[in-house]
Amino acid sequence: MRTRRWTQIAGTLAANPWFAYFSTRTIYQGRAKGLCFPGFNCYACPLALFSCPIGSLQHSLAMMSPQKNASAAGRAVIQATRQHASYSIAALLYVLGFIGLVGVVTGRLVCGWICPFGFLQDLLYKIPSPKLRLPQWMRFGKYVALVLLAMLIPYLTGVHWYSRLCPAGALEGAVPLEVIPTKATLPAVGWFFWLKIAILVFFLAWMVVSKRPFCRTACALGAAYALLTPVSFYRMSVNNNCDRCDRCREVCPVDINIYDNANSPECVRCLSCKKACPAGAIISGFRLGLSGGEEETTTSAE
Amino acid sequence: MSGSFGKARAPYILLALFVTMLVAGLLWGGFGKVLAGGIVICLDCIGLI
Repeated sequence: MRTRRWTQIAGTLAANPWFAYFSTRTIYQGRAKGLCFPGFNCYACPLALFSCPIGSLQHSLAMMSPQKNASAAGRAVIQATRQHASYSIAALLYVLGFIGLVGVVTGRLVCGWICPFGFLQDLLYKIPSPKLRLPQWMRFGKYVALVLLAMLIPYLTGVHWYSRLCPAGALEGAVPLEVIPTKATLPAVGWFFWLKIAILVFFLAWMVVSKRPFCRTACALGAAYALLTPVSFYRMSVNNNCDRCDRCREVCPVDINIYDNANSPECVRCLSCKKACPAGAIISGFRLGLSGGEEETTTSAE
Repeated sequence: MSGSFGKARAPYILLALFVTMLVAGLLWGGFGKVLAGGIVICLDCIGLI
């Protein structure tokens, strides 16, 4: 099995090691839950040990939401966490610092190598079926999701709308907690639960026919890392051995031409292209130093 | 030349900024406490409360 598969398995287990849930029937709420996991993993998952960065970002912004603007649901959420309100700015600083640090050091390396939801998409795409290529304009959806659903709307309303619609939350949180509920009595699921399930089913079906559709169109965490990829320490480049045979494009999980922009925000740094390149033209690694002389390394068109 | 140098410096400036934010958030909010209320939200978000 490829190294990347092992790191994806390890990433999934590292994010979800709380097997004590099966005996305690209690979602872990200890100190580790106050820290973020760099990949996209719902912290309502019964096995989750760490927090989701995007869930945490919404939470810190929602806690800062002016009550007068909050919806009824938002006010309930703010009341429920009032005891933590004094930590809201600290939480926001921590979350933004965490996402920024991961992004500036690795770019989207996390997406390709340890993200549990990225791993799921890689696996589902292996199911034999007709395959569809995504239009390039759809990639902007994740930036809209980041700014509107994960930041602006939670701040204005106090409601975590990105999490409410998140298919990872449905898969890792809602469904497992329905099947193996916590000790606490949970009220019957409402129509919103079924809306989440419908969104989940839609994305799962899409993952079978398209390469990483959630990462490319809707992942707010991927969008945040993507914004930092062009300036991250982890760099890729293509040297003059490249003859544009497009073998890299064939194996790319996000359908980009690495030779057009080696440090594209869309690139999840899986390095499948590097492995597949018959000319050995693709180079990757951490760039250190202030020389600034090795950029940008795309080949000429001829 | 200076543009290239500035571009090369950008990751270091961002690195310093983000590390400062992260450390400040942890020290101000208390290690492990900053997101402790998040789990309350989770259950609401996934439609279970």
